[in-house]
Amino acid sequence: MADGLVAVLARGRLARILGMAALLVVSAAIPLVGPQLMRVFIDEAAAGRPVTLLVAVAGGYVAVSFVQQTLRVLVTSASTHLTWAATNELREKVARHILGLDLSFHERHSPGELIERADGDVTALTSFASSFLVQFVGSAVTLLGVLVVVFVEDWRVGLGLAGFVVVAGVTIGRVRHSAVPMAVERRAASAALFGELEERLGGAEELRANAGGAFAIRRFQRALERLIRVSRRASLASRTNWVVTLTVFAAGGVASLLAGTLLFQAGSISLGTVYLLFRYTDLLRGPLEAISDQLPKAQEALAGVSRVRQVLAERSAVPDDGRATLPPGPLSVELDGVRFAYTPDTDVLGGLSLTVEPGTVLGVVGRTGSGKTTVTRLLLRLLDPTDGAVRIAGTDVRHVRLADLRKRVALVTQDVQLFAASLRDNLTLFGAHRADDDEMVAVLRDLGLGDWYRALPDGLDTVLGPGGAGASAGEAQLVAFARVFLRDPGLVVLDEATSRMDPVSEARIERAVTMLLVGRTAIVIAHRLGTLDRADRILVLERGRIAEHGPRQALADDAGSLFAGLLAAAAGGVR
Amino acid sequence: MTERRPSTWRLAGRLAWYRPGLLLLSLVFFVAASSSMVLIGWLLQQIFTTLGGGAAAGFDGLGLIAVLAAVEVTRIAASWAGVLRTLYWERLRGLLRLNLLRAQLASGGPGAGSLPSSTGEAVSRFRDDVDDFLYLCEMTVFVAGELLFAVGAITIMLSIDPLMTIAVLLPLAAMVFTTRSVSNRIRDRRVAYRRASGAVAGLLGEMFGAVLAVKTAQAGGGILGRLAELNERRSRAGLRDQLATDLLDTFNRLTVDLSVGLVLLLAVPAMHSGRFTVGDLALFAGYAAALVAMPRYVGRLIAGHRRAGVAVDRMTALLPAGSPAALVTHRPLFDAEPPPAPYLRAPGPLRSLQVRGLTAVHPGSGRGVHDVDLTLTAGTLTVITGPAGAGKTTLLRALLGLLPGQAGELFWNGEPVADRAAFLVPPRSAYVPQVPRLFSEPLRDNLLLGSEDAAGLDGVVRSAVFDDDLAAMPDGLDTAVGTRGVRLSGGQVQRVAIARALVRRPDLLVLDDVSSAMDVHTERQLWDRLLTRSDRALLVVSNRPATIARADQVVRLDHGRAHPGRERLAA
Repeated sequence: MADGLVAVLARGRLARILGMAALLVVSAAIPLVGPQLMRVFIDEAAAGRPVTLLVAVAGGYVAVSFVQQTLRVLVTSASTHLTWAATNELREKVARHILGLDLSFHERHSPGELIERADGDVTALTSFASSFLVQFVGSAVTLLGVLVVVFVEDWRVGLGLAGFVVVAGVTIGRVRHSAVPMAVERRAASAALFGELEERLGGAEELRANAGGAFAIRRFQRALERLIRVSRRASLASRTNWVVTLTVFAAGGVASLLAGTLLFQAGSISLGTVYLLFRYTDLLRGPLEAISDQLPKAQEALAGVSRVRQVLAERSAVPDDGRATLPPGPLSVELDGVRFAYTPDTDVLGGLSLTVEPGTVLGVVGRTGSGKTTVTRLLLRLLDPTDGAVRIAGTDVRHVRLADLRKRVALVTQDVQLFAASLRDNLTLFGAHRADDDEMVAVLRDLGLGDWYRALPDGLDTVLGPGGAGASAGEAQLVAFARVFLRDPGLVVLDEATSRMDPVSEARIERAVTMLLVGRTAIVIAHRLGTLDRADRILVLERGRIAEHGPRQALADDAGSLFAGLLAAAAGGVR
Repeated sequence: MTERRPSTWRLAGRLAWYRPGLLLLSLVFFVAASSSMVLIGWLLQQIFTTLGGGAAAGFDGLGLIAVLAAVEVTRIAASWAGVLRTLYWERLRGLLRLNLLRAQLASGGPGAGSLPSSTGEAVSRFRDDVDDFLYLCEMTVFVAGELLFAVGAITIMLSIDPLMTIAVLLPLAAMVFTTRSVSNRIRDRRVAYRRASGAVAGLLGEMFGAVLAVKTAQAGGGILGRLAELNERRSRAGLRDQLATDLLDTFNRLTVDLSVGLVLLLAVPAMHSGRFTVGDLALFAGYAAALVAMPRYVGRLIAGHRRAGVAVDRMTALLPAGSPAALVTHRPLFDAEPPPAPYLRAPGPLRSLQVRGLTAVHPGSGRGVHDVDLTLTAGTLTVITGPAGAGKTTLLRALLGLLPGQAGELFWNGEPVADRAAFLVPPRSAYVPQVPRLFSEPLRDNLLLGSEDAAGLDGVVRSAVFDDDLAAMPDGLDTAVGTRGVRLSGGQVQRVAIARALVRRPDLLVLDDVSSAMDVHTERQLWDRLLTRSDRALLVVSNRPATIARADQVVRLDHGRAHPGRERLAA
């Protein structure tokens, strides 16, 4: 079933698992001792035995309890320890795997879903693995122990008790299952309610300013009504199940008293043994419930296992099997008949061919959906072309090691992604790129972030992002630029990198970008045409095809060109 | 908060009294279940005493067992009826959430609460704080039932043997103290563990959410290293948490066994003399096991009360200032409420809007806007421009009354406006923020937001330059936009939000940097279409030259202060 995964979890931990199991068997058998001592006490006291013996029994009772509790703590800590080590290993493995998958996989799966795979499912699996061992094995040992002891005591009572265990087990197992779908339904209704609340509260300002409050409240009431309706079913079902369990054990208790009384009156057993049987029946409750608890959990964990295995079976559509490396210095770019399509009949890019000489700047313009962003993704091999080839410095990017490609080609996009981590980690991306503190501070200063940096309470150790020190959209974008500065790329791709920036921040970055592009090749995509002043050549894309391509100055001077038309429109002068 | 709010108990009581009949009925069942527990312990004593040859109350052993069975049936029935309570708490949770949401979404007026700093924060108040407050109600009823049992059990034990009763209760009393100190530690460790878990999930979320940045910068190794670190931290916190809980549990069980051990020791001479029967022994052992949880329950109640107090404070922060009782207002859960009577009378269509001395400062950073004067006239476009952090968005939100504690005055056609938040709503004004939020409903609902006026949709869709996009959608207005509109592009979301604002035909349209994700063509079309009406004033934040060129008035903001730009910039 879970072959590979179980191997991952158990590897290198066999000795500890076995040791724990041994400890577990001992600790599961000890609860049988207490009632035995009580019996001895009752019978010996009735027989008028000396006080010292009875005192010893009472002391033994407390001592046994002490040993039992100590063992219990030992076993659970050991199993928790083991579980955590295994969980962490598996979680890292899954996270690494997911991160290695190509962009089209990530476009199909939301981050929330992937967190659920790497955290939720993995945790469910390992906590099941550990609790299964402790609960299931421990309970089984206690259960068998009670049955064996009672059989030795009186085979008729033993037989009765075994029958009771079977009936109780089947009943509990059956009713426990029955409530699961309702509970799932309730969780879904509750998730829907909170999902809706989250949306409405996130849009609270808009709802207030646009008088949408009454609408949102009516929708909330509807979700609430549904939740309460579903809850009623779920609560009734789970309460009924609990009551059934209660009934089974109450019946068992009454039956054992009845049997004990009859046997006692017939002279077959002592009064202490009546008490013993009564307590043992009660003792069965924990193990029986624990075992039936494990069954739905097992199903849940197995579902998680299959989801995790599915993810681990995914293969990246962008295999990293190239061996070539890229030369130092500015890199040339060549698109050779590049076609790209997500589905066979809708081309995002249709047969693009062009060359960017080393050290020059290509400006790219085009409407939303013209394929600009797809070009950047092909350059960084976030996607591979359906047809044709992308060559950097004359080498097909599919033959270049991914690590080398992404070290030498840098991308800055409009969506700046700051992590909830220190400024240092944000700049070096958690140490992926080495840089010393002075270097980082110098780059921040060059980018015009000097004042901002000095205002940070803990310097480079200041935690950024949600809940941390604030950075405006412009400042965050400048931090993203700083990341690129700290590397030494030979090709820089700017995808709308300045479109969210105000004129002051943009001016700050202008100078820095000029510095960055010295001795490097660049591809700059922009809505704001002012950003393209430094471009040597301009490419106008329309529906994935080249609509215009030529030297910037020549196109700007030619009043009939598409580019000149865009320039005029942006200036607002000409309609 | 300086003024005193009603005590937590008072608020909880008021809430619990929502449907008194239901509450009392469920209490009756609870009392029945508790007292049958006492009775069962006593019956066991009688049975063993009878078997041991002692005198019992009128029945023989088998008769007593029959009575025991009957009491068990009563207890089980009462437990089953306890489901009423669970359902009642669920309704009370709904009521609290409904009250909070009403305060959060009210556009001004006496019922409007203040908005929290972040959505996550607000959601956690709706979820966790509501649960914490309800926990107090549940725990109070539960502990009351347990106390009833304890009083009954202790009375019976005292009547049998006072000395042994003390022997049972002494270890339990010790438990009260240890439980309190240990449970604080457990809570700290639980909090630490939750925080460590949150850090792991948070990093995974950022890693998968920012997968583009992580991959393109080849940052996987670094970030996985951090994951390993956080994993390790979480496992340590998890172990400590588990151990603390285990130790308390162990301590509990040891206490019971110690109590029973003490009873055994003291029983030796008494049993020899026949004063103490086997039945008494069974009774003491049974009651001791049931009573041991008592200190823990009381501890939980005390902690629950403390937590509920914090929860009430956090929830009342979402309510209008000075009205914490609004949290527990009784109202029907599901009935649609009649629309509130218009809070403010309409002073006629907009001719001019004057803003004087508008000031709004963020309490933490001191950033904001200071003393801004502004006059908007119907039929004109006013553009606010300036660098990042200059206070452009703050200015809009303060003007609309969306920020607390602002100063300044507002005059609509010369008449002063007292409650900006209540006044500047459709049909007088509509607002589109920088990053508009769509909801998961179909496009039509997103546009209408409950408005009945569906006839004008075609017109507003065209005005917002969304007509071509809409024509390309096979399902038209029934198109599902996905969670929060993810199926639309950034530019499309902005234009849908503009159309949504236009649905209610506002006199004043306030747009915060809405053209940031639009290309030049679309942007030009947008201004062409929005500027056709002479009865509408546009107030727009933008830094784009193409927008500024169309403005009748430009206000340049810098460090929160306004510098009027050239009027009529474009020819």
